[in-house]
Parts: sequence; C-alpha cells; structure tokens
Amino acid sequence: MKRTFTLSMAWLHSWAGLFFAWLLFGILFTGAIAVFHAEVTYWVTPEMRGQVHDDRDKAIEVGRAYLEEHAPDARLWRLTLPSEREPVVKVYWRDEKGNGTTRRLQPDTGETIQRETRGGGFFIDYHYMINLSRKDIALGPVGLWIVGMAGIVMLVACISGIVVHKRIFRDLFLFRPGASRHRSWLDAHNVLSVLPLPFHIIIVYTGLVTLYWLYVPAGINSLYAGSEDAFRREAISQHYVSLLDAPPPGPPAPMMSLPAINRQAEAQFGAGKTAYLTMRDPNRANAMVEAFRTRADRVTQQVEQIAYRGIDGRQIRIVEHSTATKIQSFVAAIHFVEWGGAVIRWAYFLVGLAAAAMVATGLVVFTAKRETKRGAPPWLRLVQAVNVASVAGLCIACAVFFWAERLTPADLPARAGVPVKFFFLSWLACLAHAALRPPHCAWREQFALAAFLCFAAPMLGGQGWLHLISWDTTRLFFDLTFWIFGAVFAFLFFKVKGTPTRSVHRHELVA
Amino acid sequence: MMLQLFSLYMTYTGLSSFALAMDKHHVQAFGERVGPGRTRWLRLSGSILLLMALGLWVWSLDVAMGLVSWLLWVLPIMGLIVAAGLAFVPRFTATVACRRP
Amino acid sequence: MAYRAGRERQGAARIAARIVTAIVAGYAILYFVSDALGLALVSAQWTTRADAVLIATNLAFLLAPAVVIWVFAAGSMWRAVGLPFVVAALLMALAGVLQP
Repeated sequence: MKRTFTLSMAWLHSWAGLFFAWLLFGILFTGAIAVFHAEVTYWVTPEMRGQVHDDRDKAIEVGRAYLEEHAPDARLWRLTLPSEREPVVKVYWRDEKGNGTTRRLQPDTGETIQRETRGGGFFIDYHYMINLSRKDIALGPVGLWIVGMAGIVMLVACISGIVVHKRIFRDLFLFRPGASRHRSWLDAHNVLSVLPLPFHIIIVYTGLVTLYWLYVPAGINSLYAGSEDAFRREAISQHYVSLLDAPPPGPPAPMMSLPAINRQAEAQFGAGKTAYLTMRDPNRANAMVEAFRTRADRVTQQVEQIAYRGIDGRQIRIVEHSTATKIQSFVAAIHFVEWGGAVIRWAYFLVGLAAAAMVATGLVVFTAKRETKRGAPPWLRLVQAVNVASVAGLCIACAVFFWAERLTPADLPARAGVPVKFFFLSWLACLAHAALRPPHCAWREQFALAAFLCFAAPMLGGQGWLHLISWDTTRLFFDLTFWIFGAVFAFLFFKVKGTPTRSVHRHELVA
Repeated sequence: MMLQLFSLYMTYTGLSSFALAMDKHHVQAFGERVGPGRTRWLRLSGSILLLMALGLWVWSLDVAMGLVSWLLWVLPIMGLIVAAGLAFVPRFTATVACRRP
Repeated sequence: MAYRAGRERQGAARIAARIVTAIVAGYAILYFVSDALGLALVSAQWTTRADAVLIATNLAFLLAPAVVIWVFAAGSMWRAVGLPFVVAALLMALAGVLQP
C-alpha cells in the first residue's frame, strides 16, 4: 500500500490499532477482571459465607427441595454444587417457553439469597460481547461480532507490530523512563507488547476459536442444516439433556436419591469432584440425571459427563470425547483458565492487565507523536477525548459498577440490571467530560476520580471492617487489590503533568 | 510452593543474564561494555537457568499446566520485572541476579 | 490545490476500498475455507461431522489475520481488492460443489 511492506504495516498498525484500541482496552481490562469472576460475585454478595461446606449430600438435598417446591413441572433442572470459589448452591430451571431462572441458596440452611446480581458474569459478558447479546439487538449477536473483529485486528496489530519493530531482540528489555515523552511511552509500549507477546497472540487466538461455531457458522449451515442445537449436541454434548426432540415426559415417578447418584459419579470423578448435576424430566418415569466433573484441576474445558436413569440410578452413558474435541478443549481452557488455583489466576490477571496497558500506551504514543508536529491536526482533539474515555473512563465505569453493587438495596426487584446501567451511564459521562476538558486536565481528573472510587470501594457499607473481623481472605485480597488500583491511578494522576502543548489545545478550544 | 518461588527466581536470573549480555544494559548496570567471552557465558548460563526454571515449574505442577503457565505468564511477568528493574535500578537488578561486573 | 484535493479523495477512496475488502472478503474467505475444508473432511471420511467442523474452523481462523495483512500490504488495487474477492468467490464455488 505504501512504498514498502514495513511502511504499510506501520500505517496499518497505527490506524487499525487506534480505532480498535478504543474497544480493546475495555475488552482486555474486563477480561483480566473476569479471570476472577467467581471472586467478584463473592465480593458483591456479602450473604455468601466463606466456610468450606463439606456436606455435599446436604447441599444436593437443599437444592432438590427448592427445585421441587418452585419448579416441579419444569423439564430441565440444573443444580450446581458449592465449590471453593463459590460457596453456594445454584439452582437453575427452564420453563416451557425456554426462559431460565437462577437462584442461589445457602448450602447448609437452604435459605435463598435474595440479592440478584450478575456479579462477575457482567465482566465476562462485556469481555466477549460488550454486553450486546441477541436479546438487545434482534439482528444477531452483534457484540460478539464486534469483539471477534477486534480480536482479529489485535492479531493483525501484533503481526504488523513485529514487522515494524525491527530491533525486537536487541530492545527486548529496553525501557528509558527519563527519555523524551514520546520515546519513553514508546519504550513502555514495546516492552509491554514484546515480552508478553506469546500471551497476547495465544490468548486472542484461543478466545476466537473457543466460540468458533458462533463466529463462522459455515459448518453448521452446510453439515447440520443450520441447526445450532443439533451441532452442539454432537460437538459439545452440552445439550444431551436439551429438550430438543426429547420424548414427552412420562408418568410421574419418584426419582432416586440424588446424593446416591452423585456418589456413584464421584466414584469415577474423584471425591468431591462433581461440579453440577442436570436433571431432565425430573420426577418422571423417564427422568435422567447427568453429572458433570469439575474443571479446577485440569487444563480442559470439556469435562467428563455421566448420565444416569433417574428412577434407579442405572448408568446410561459416559460421554467420550474425540481427540479433536480434547485438543479444542485444551485450547479453550487456556483461555478460560478455570484451573490451576489462585496463583495461576493472579498470573493471568497481571499479564492481562499488561495487555490492557500495552493498548493504553499505544494510544498515548499515537497522540504524543502527532502532538509534537507543528500544527497538530484538528481531529487529534477528538482522538484524545476518546482516548481518555476508553482508558480512564472505562476504569471509572468498572469502579462505578462495584459502587452500584454495594449501594443498590438487596431486595430491589430486577436489581441485576441496575449496576450495569450505572456502568454505561458513567462511561458516557466520562466521554462528555473528556470532550469538554483539555486532554491533560481530562486525564488528571478522571484518574483522580478513579483513584478515589477505588480507595473508597472497600469501605462502602461498612463491609471492609466485616471482612477484617471475619478474616475473609478472599474478600480482603479483593479490598487490597482495590487499594493497589487506587494507588496506581493516584500515581498516574501525579504523573500526568501539564506540557508545553497544553496552550495549543486551549487555543483550539477557543477557535 | 518453595519450588515455584525458586523457579520464578531462576527465570528472573536467566532473563536478566540475557539482558546483561547486551551492551546497552551491561553499561546501565556496571558502567562498562561487555566483552565477547562474557557475552557467551551470560547467554549460555541464562539458557541453562531458564531451562532449569521451566523444568522445576513443570515438575511442581503437571506438564500441561506447567508448560502453558510458564510460557504465558512466568516468562512475561519476570521479563517485565527485569525491564522495569533495568530502567530504574539497574545495579540492584544485576545484584539480585547474582551478577557482578 | 484542486489537484491535491482530488488525489487525497482518491486516496481516501482506495483506503476505504481496502477496509471494505478486509472485512467482507476477509470474512468470506474465513467462512468458505472452513466450509470447504469441513465438507472435504467429511466426504473423505477422515473425521466425524462434528470434528470436521471443529478442525476446519479452527484452522481457518489462522488465515484471517493473514488475509487482512495481505489486503493492506499488496501494492496495486487489483492485488489488494480484486484478488481477495476472486479467491472468496472461488472458495464459495468449491464449497458449493462439495455440498452433500
């Protein structure tokens, strides 16, 4: 396109990078937070208590009792056992119209947890579809498509970045914070990009191929006559208990004791290794119970599943995964990281934040390079405003989400959507603020706000003290992380100083 | 746990060896250029340290988890620490890696 | 001035053409490569239906960034815009032929 390949790649890297960086910072930042999605849900739901509940039989009975009371006629139940990260019983059922309902129960008393929240699930949803699902836009999963495009562009940016950055090995560790403004930001961008480069490329690729059939439904259209359900049943076995061409429910018949079925399953999975049980046509003659193994101790996204007959616990089938499925399961697990324990999760979190920082430094490099030229182009002002909003504004929006979770009353009906609304409203406010204020003021003020929100978040509702008194280590680490983020934002606030070009922007505002 | 911490430290020393094998960073840390023999030694010992770190890490977890996590995060995070160290406290970075001029 | 403005407008149009090509032809190539490859695997009976879809789509994703880079690296407009659409059309024909 340009005179040489390198120049074309430099152009592509800058421009595709600019537009998609606005999206990618949010995707990467929420992705890093989403690594701890269970801990987020745990933190925003003070009703969850951290004691390890060993009595799995009791938990199953509690869940079953609730389901029998509230959804006796539903054709599909799911009962998720308490785990170390989420010490609650989750029950889910689907009604005739196909709408699902989820409730959380205390594993020992069966008491319902009133507080409805999307918790960590919101960060996952933002990360992979910017919270725009088929429910919001009838056209299709538009958010998913946008994120998919952003993923491809990030891969393109990584490749073009390698082409442009000639001295990739010689400058591997090069970071000169004292150099000229443009130079030191570029060093930071390079270091954050090149050192974790395997991570960036692998994480983006694994993210795209995890939901491969949603992005490219070619196989479904050609080989399954367009039926996604039929494909999922064969490929992912998830919908074995789906209601798709399920026989009509048989006559009522009591189901065998679920803890007994679970014990059979755990004899094969390992003690305490069942993640959840699904029940099709419960309390009917043709009831079927399927047990799914946990993911926490293996790098695999597809798990072992064993199906039993409901009335007598006879084993019907064990799902066998083909080699290709096992490989794809490994690939997906690299992205989802539900294994490995806390250390691995912290590691992914840190490198994910490094990826987000890489994108943010790239944005700063873009504007810094063009600010120093004589007569910065008029559209640069707009770019700077969007930069501030996409980086600092997004951090503020995430903090506001947590504030809204703390401050919204637990018993408010349809509560789950409220913090999400505040997330997007605050982001829009940050965009407006960034458009009205000169760039350096906008950066400073938004970082100051972000710092304040993070420092104060653990203390909302007096929860911080409770965490300390009950020595709830998960929640305490969460609070500590808030303070560390607050410190980082405060540091950035002090670092953003006025520069000689600030006066140029004032004149542009007046003109 | 101790094995993993030691593996992290070895990754750090391995990576800083590679960094110090470059003139730019050797000057930052020690104030003098690196000679050819020293370059070879730093790179060789760096490779050995990295391989040992990988081995220890994989041994403390399992092959799949170990390989994936070492490649995707141990290496980048330790690399970022080395880069930051060389930028702000180069001499200290080298000392922690048990390297002297 | 008018000449320069004309050249810039032409430049913008060319860039727009490349962007459209990267998105449309890029996705089309991704789609029809996984289509054709999946159908080929099934008709050669090397794998099951579900596995064919999985393997074909995962491999096709490796191509997608390469196509985008090609569109922006290629010198002439024919190579940058024309060629990807031709390739996409050929792949579509191939997939059509392989349909069961």
